[in-house]
Amino acid sequence: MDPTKLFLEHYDGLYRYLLRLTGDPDVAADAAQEAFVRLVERPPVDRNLRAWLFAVATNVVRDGARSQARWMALLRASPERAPMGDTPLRADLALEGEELSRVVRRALDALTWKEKTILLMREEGFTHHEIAEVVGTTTGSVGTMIARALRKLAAQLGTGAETIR
Amino acid sequence: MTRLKLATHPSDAQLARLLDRQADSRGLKPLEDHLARCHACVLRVEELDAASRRVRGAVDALSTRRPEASRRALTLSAIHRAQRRRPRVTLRRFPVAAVIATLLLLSAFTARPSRAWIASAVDRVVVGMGLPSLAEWLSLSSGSGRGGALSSGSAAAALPVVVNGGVAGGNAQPPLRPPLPVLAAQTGAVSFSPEGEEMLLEVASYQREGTLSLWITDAADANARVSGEGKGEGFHVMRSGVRILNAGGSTARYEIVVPRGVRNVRIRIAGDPKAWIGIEPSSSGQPWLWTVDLKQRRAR
Repeated sequence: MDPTKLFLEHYDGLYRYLLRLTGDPDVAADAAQEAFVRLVERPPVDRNLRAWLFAVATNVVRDGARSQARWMALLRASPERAPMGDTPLRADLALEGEELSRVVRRALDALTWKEKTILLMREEGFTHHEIAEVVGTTTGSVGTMIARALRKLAAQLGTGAETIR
Repeated sequence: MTRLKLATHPSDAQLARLLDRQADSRGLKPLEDHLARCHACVLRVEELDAASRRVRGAVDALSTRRPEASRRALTLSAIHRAQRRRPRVTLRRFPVAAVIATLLLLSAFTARPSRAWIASAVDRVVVGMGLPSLAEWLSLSSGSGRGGALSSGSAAAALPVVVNGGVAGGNAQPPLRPPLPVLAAQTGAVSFSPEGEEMLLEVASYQREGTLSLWITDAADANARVSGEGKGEGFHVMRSGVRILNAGGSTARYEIVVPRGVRNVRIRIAGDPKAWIGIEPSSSGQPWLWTVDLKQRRAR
């Protein structure tokens, strides 16, 4: 296993997937880095490495989101612990801040974590079997969930598009 | 050829598999047959396909930006650091494991039964390989003159001197162990020449009855023999002394003739700490006798 070669092959795809999943370039980059470092430190045995990388990165993001939720709950409970100052403006988001992007992001965020993961992994070309391994379900269930998530997201996008117009 | 037929309309999962080209050939044919005659299901597939296209377009529009070059470099650097770290982690763990194993062995060695058992087990292995026993290695590596329960500064005592089992200071029970193997060639009397002024006497086990007598004479060589009612006891001659191979149930007595050139006799019974007998030079030429009881004292 050559981690550098794997990095060159899979980093961009993994980052793209994570950026779509989270909407946050820093979180996406951090999670992608963590997945590659874990690949070096504890390489999987007899696994599809690409699927493994995506699975690990997805778990990193999910665990981070849980921590973030706990942190936000803590902040709500004790506002004095909130960092002082305004949140800095994100130049990249400002540049990319088209209406469509906002609508798609909002529509994606309306899905459950599992639905979002399944749809975005499908967009990256993973098989139903590989997706099932990542989200911890059966291959048959993945098909059902894909159909449901597609309809749900398409409906959300329709609502959003009408709003834009 | 048997053709599978769908009894009902295909499920969403089947349609999704069809759409994503994930259906196997066995399931694909009946699905296609069903769609050929079911307009409602064709509409379902088209609706799902339209949703899929729409989602794909939207997701593609979300962001196609590549990560910043600096961020890529940072990740690559982290990967290389992890690669360099990995062997060190393994090497770092090895000494820790070695230290733990050593501590465990040492702690086991301080408990009398396990120490004796380990010592005798190691001895059996190394003696079987034709190497010096553990006791001999220990005697070679340790310094002389360490006092023990039997240490005597004035060995010019009147004979006979009887030392009753104080060698081990032992109130402990005799250690449980399998009987030591006795080699036929080593039974009976043996003669040997201890190197230097120190002689080591190792006794494999305490006995039910029996004594170890040391005759200090003007003889040039040392020798050892079983003098009582033996049960196949034997001797293993080492570079610096002799090891008595006996068993706990034995009642044999042993006589060891120590040449006068020897100044210290170190005695070790059943792996217990060594005691030593200091022998002062004497011009009288009178033989000295030391007797050590091999029956272990019981706790009162």
